[in-house]
Amino acid sequence: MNDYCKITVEPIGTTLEGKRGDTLLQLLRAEGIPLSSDCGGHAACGRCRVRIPAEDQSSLSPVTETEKLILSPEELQDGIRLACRSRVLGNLRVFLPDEDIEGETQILMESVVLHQNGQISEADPVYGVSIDIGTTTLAAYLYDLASKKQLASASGLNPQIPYGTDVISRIAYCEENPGGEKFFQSLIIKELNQLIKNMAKAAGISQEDISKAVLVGNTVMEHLLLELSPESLGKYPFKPIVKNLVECTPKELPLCIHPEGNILVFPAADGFIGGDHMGVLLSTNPGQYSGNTLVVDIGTNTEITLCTEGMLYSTSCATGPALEGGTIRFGMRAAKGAIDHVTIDPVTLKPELHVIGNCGPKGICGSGIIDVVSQLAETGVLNPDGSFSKRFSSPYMVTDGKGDLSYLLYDGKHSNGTKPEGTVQEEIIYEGTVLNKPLHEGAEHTERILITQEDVRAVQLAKAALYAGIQILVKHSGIISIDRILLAGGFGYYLDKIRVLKLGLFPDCDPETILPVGNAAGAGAILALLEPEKLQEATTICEQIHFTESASDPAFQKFYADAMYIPHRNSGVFLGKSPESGCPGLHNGMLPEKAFSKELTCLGNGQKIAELAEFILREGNMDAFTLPLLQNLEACVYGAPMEKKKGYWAPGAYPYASVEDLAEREYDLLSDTRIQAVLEAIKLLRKTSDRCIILEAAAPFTILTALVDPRKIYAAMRKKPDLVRSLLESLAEAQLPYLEAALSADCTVISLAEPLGTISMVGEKNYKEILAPSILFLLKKMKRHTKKRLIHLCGKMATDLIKSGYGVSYPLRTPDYNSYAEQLLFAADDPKIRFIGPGCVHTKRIQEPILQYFELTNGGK
Amino acid sequence: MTYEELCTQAKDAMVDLDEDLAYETLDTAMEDHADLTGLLTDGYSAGMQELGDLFAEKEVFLPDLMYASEIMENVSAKIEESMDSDDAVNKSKGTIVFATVEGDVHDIGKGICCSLLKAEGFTVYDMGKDVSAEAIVNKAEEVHADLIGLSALLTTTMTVQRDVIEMLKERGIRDQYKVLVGGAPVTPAWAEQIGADGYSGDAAACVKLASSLM
Repeated sequence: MNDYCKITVEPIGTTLEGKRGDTLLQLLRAEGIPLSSDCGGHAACGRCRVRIPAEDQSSLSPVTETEKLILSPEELQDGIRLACRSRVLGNLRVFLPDEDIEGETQILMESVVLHQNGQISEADPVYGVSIDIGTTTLAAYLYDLASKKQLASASGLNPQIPYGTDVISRIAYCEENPGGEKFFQSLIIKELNQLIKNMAKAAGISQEDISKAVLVGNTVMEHLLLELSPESLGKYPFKPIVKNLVECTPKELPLCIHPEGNILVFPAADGFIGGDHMGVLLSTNPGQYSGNTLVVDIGTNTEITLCTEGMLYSTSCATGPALEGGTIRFGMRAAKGAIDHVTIDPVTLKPELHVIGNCGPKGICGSGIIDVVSQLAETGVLNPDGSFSKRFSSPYMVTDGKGDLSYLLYDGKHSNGTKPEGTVQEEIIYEGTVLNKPLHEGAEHTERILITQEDVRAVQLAKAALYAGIQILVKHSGIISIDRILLAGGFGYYLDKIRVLKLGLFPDCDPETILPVGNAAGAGAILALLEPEKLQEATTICEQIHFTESASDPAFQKFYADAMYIPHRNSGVFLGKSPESGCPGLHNGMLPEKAFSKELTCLGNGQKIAELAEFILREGNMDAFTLPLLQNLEACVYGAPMEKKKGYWAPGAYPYASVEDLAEREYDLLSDTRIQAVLEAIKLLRKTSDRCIILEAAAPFTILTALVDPRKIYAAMRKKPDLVRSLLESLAEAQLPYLEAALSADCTVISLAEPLGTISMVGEKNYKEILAPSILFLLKKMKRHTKKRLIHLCGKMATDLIKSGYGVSYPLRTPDYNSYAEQLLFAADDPKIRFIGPGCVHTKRIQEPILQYFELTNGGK
Repeated sequence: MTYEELCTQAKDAMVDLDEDLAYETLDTAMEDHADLTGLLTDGYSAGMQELGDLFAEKEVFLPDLMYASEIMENVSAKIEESMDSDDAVNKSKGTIVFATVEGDVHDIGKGICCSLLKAEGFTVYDMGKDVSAEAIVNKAEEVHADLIGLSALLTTTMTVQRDVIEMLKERGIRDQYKVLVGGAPVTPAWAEQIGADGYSGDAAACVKLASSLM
């Protein structure tokens, strides 16, 4: 039997010889054929998928159990195998996935902009190159050092990719293969020399005239470049062998430049805060801004630096490759054929796709995934914990090969011109043009593209790691707000800032304060190339940095868990700006003319209240009974005279002269006959109808402002804050039994409104110290009685609670109802939903089948 | 409140992640002098197990389990505190020494495994993170463990799992323990390659595996 087999690699057409028994991945790697493998051949990532034609399948080792776990039955049927698990037994043909052959990776070259004042010194060398060695991509620039003009640029993929897409896999390779760093060095040098050669040729100069090279990369890339063992970088405490600026000549590092040329490799601050991040800090210079500036460089490993008052705090977090399209079922790099933007219709859930390049979609890249997950959460398709909601059906919610719920982004079958009946037809936008037919027949993905539950989980883990990393820095620096976020990497330009915030990738802030800064690491290398003193500055920055290992900080776990929610469970302390409530502060729940013309004779008579409520429901063509038919019944019971306003009854003159006067009386609502009558009305209505019954209640501060002139209350808040707070607490304590009794009487919704006690009116400090305790008391106590019932928080109340960090709100998708009352009944049926808000019980028309629900956070506990 | 009602309430509190209710239930139980160890098993642990099942069915995700583990830890600590040492009658399902291996500081997954194993009735020695092979083997010998759980979250630290097994062989005690491995980069193939007794991909599977090995 022949020990060697012939392997034809399609669609490239190359033929190679391989030893029988070797894996396909080993053979392809040996020939330098690029095939993604995130895990470095450990059968964990499932990315080294190749297709074997049916007639050649017997020339490979049988399908392993691992492959059966990773590949779907359809894929196995189609002859898809994992290259790392398939051993060659005979001659065969192998088909590589499209993504690995076609498509120039989209790297932003023009983003490197420098402001020079062009000082020329005759002693300066003539030409220089700067090179950014990324784990995935390489970017090189050729400069005329005298004029400081860019002459050429070149980019390419890191040739080490076949040995693992992330740094850890490459470290592992070096551990398993002695001499691995030497091998990796030869690979990268070969590729860099090719880039240098190409640039020199393009600029029409000789490589010999290049007298200086500045290189920047993460610590592992720099170690491998310098043939240093990266082993210590793979284990806690992740310390590099070399941190300092390395200066050498082509004799030591064989770059094809002038033999006496100067090669400089950026210094690093720590194992995971490498030269690339120094480049970012050098070029963005966060110290130039006032306030607190966050510098974020998103990658498989994300580096974050917080600059405040001249101090630099850095950490790194294991975001993983998901935000760049890695580990996503249909994920791919931002190359030709990648879906990079998606807009989802909130009502129909229909996606509108934007695809890079002049072709049909083949997969989805990072910015596209962020778009999808963010919008699925915003439309309530995803629960806040990231699970797909099972409460409704849509043609875009389908099951994948394993039977798990997934979102259908693209149905390959339809774009071939056939349009199956009863299913969905999509429009695909190519470069902004809406087309119904693909441009190149057969060029696009012929299978559907799904976003699976596991994809969402991968995004959650990634964004949680990043967000928790930021929180660790905030904790260490003691700051309370962030003024701007500088987002490094070409990635930043493609992100939709609002969707990024709705996903919860960053702390809540004004989207305008997120500034993409492009390939800032590359810009730092160029800066160092053109201005020699800048490299010294990089060394100084390294020494200034306070580094924190985020994963070993005791607070990390809690931050991480909370940040896994979308957008997050705890809004944290650093809210820059949060949404204002749209509520005008006035109840527009006017009574119909006929009902209103009747005097307030029903007050204190349950039978009459129930009759009037029924009358209003019929006359007003409404879907819910709303009680108690007048505003602020609580204040009325405490002595406020009721007046006829435009369309409703509300308290008039203030019955108490001062807060002190009011503080002297006893509070009791439950035994009052007017309150008892309302409770009786609820029972009567419930006897004959299973409709939604809403009881409107005034929150304690709103009761107070109807009893005492608000100007006097504000004065008292300044002078006697404790008195006002305890007064509000007494009002809340007296109100609780009334509201509990209403819930026991099977009232569906209690709507709490606080139109006057807002942060914008009383200030955040007063709100938190004086107003919030009574509101939180009511909410926490009532929560116990709300199975199948709801507490509804008005827009202003919920927004203020969220702003102060006491709660968060999430969207809840409901069936496509016509009325708000139906939506509320639907929400009441869900045992997990207890609070609705921000919302308004007087909502007339529903725009979207989405309801906001509210949860108290730890801040509110 | 009857004992059954307390158990139901404790279980509900865990499943609903109602931290306040979980502690209130415990307070009530203490006032009533109810059987606390029983409540821990039939109430809290039962709820924790249900969450574990929901996790396996992908109904709940990591943060819920992490949150629940924290509540569980606090409840167990309070109960242990209130009991006299001779009260602690343990009908342990087995003893397991669990650690995140040397060179690795990622211990969230390991923490959840430990909580679920405790809920299942195992005696768990959680050695924390960045623990050397030698320390793990020593501990296993010291407490006469039945199982050893090894978590590794980096491709570069997976090798320590193998080191532990090699050390057990060197000391001639390999057959006294069942070794379970897990962690993001770990695969069944790796487990087989290093001669581990089992692999699990997540906390719920870990509990099943541990039970099946006893």
